[in-house]
Amino acid sequence: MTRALWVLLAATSFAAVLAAQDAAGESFKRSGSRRGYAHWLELLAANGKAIDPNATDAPPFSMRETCKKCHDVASIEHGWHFAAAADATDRGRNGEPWLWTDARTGTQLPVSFRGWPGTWRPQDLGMSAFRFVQEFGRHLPGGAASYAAASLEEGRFRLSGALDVDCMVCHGAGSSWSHERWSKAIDSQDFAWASGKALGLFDVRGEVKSLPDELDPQSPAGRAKLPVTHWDRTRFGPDGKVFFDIVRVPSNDACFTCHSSQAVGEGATPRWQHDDDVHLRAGMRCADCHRNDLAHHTVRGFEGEVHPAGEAVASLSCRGCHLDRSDGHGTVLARGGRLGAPLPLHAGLPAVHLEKLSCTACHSGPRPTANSRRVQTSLAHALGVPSQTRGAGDLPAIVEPVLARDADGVIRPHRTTWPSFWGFEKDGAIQPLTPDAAFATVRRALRIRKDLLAELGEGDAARAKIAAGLAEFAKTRTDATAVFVSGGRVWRLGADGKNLESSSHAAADPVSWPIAHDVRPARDALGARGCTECHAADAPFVHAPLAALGVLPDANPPVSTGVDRLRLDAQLVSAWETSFAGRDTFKLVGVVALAVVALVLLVLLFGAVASVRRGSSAA
Amino acid sequence: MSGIAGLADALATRYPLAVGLGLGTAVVAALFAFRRTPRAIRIGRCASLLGAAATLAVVVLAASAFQAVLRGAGLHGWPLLAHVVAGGAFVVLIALFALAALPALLRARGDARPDAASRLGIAGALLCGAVAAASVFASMFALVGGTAFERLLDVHRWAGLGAFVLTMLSAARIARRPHAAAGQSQAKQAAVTSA
Repeated sequence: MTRALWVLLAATSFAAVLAAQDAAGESFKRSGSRRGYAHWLELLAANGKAIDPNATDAPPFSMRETCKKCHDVASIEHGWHFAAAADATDRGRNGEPWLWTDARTGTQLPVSFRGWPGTWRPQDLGMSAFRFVQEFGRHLPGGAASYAAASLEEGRFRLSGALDVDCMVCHGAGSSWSHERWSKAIDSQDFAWASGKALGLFDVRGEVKSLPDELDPQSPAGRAKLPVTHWDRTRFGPDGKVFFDIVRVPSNDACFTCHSSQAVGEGATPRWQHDDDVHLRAGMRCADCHRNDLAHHTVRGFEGEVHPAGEAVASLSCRGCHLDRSDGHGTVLARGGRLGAPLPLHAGLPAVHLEKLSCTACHSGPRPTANSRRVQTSLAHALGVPSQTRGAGDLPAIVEPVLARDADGVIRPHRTTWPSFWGFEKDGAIQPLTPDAAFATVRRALRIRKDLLAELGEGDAARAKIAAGLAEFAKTRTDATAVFVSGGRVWRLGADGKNLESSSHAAADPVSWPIAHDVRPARDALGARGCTECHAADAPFVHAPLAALGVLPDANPPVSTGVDRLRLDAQLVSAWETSFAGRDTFKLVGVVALAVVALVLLVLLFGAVASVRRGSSAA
Repeated sequence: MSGIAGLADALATRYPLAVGLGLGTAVVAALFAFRRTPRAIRIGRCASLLGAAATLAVVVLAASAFQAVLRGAGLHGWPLLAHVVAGGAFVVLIALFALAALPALLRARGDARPDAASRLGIAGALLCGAVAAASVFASMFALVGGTAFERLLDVHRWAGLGAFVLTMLSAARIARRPHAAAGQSQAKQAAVTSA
């Protein structure tokens, strides 16, 4: 009897395990078809309950709750675009940081959860998760909890709601998702309403922004003050479900939401003259290379990238796709050619270039010129959000292309910006002040109303204002020295307490990140028109100067040359450039010389044959 | 082709060892250069000067290249520039040397006629040097790229090594001076012959 019970128990347990596995497999549905699935969805609120659009107190829908019925949202939230604050997230190669910009204080602070060189972690600046989302949520695809480690039950998140990962930013077809509406919702602190507003599913009366911190959203009085959601009932089908026009592979427009740029300022190519990336012209999509698994670990495509799940992604880099991987002696280890990628012959290019230069150094970004040009990006300048006042001189000041040697010794093109902020220096370390903390003092001392850059003036007048600001900051703290970081320098009050003096400091060093787009055609690559594009005394590749850009006008800003950035020997560079002067003549001389040697060897050969014959005849 | 590729790969892994052996051979040859020989080998003063210059260029080429090979590093920076400049000089010098030494190499008889070993050594050095130079010219004229260029670099390495070894051996043979007794013996033989 006892034995029978044990057998029954074991069988029951085994069946339960099998059932659990089946249940897990069935909870995340897959169509298995290459055809897109038509999504008619029952919208769920943050509490998991179905939305009744007819209810007067209908809440906004939660993308997370709605999508997780069929998709492993928990895994997706750990993807590259949604998780930055988690320590386990591999930061990979440094990319564009968020730039906390405030025109009133002249601040442009590089901020990143990923700990890239030259950036500040938000928490180290005293920037709360809510403040981060408020400032940068306009170009964040959601995921306040996963990206910024927000605690959704605390602070103003109790009022604004969670900013869920918004799947429709990338997977919405066409123009079904509005960036403008999304950013307006973020600006109003209507985080929980952002997805619905962007999709045009409802209108919102009121905004969280106007509500006091101490409001209790759980109380009847508090709930009455929250924004009211007016659903568009025409979007609901007869069965109460809403159609979401979803694509599996995001369109390029989705990527452009956050990854656009435009040249501005002097020498900028007009938009209508700008050519698209050569891959896009060939009909490819961004997501053909920058693809991901369900966990959304998006491949960034740089050499040596390690996929968090250990997947093989080497063939999704430039070399991996275009070149066969060989052992350096002609034996092919892995073949390239994915998606029809042509094999570059690089005829006439000594192999040393392929070791020292990345593919992007010659093929990507704007061609180097005598002066780097200003560029604006989505993340830094809120491109995509319509503005009538956006100007070429707006902060933050970013320049490109800046060819520099990375930590691995390879030369790549970069975008570069110089930090600018008010702060304090103590024991050699500089701690920035956030714009919020600095504004009151700056306004009082400098009488700045809206824009420090515009109202600072020029020359001595500008310096006098900065000095006045530093003097005011000095009153607030006596254990540290007030500083203003700008244009690659740290500015302090001199011994007389009135004039400014400057020095260099790591906190003032420029912050750079490699760029890889737009890729130019092969005929427009550096060096395609001859070696002297780079190996010449006036070649921008090596000799273009780069002057630091700062808020404070500086008659003698720090200037770096290509020799500095590329860590070259100036004399060696000059020697190479000299050797290229007579290269064409030498080619001719060399051909003649080799022909002479060949003739002499032929004569010797005939002479030897004749000698052997003579010897045979004599014998 | 796979057989050739396999052979090339097998040889490539042994290149540093071959470089070491080549350097050893050069050292031995240099030592033998100071030994006396029964018979001098003369190629003419002009050819001797040009040969010496070409040998110097080969030494610079070898020094710049082999230091990288033996360190397991690539050829970069000043050594690369020195290699390129010396290579350019070498191409011109071997052509001039070949023209200047040709009469001596073709001489059918005479006391200082280069023997067969010397002629073979000089011809071999010229051939290897020309192949080494031509393999680089192919890239300068943008004739090849990619995998083909890697193969040409292998050819360049081995031809260069061969040119170095043969140049050192040939230079050592030509540089050796005759015995004084052997010189007298040759003079007696010449007198007997003329009588």
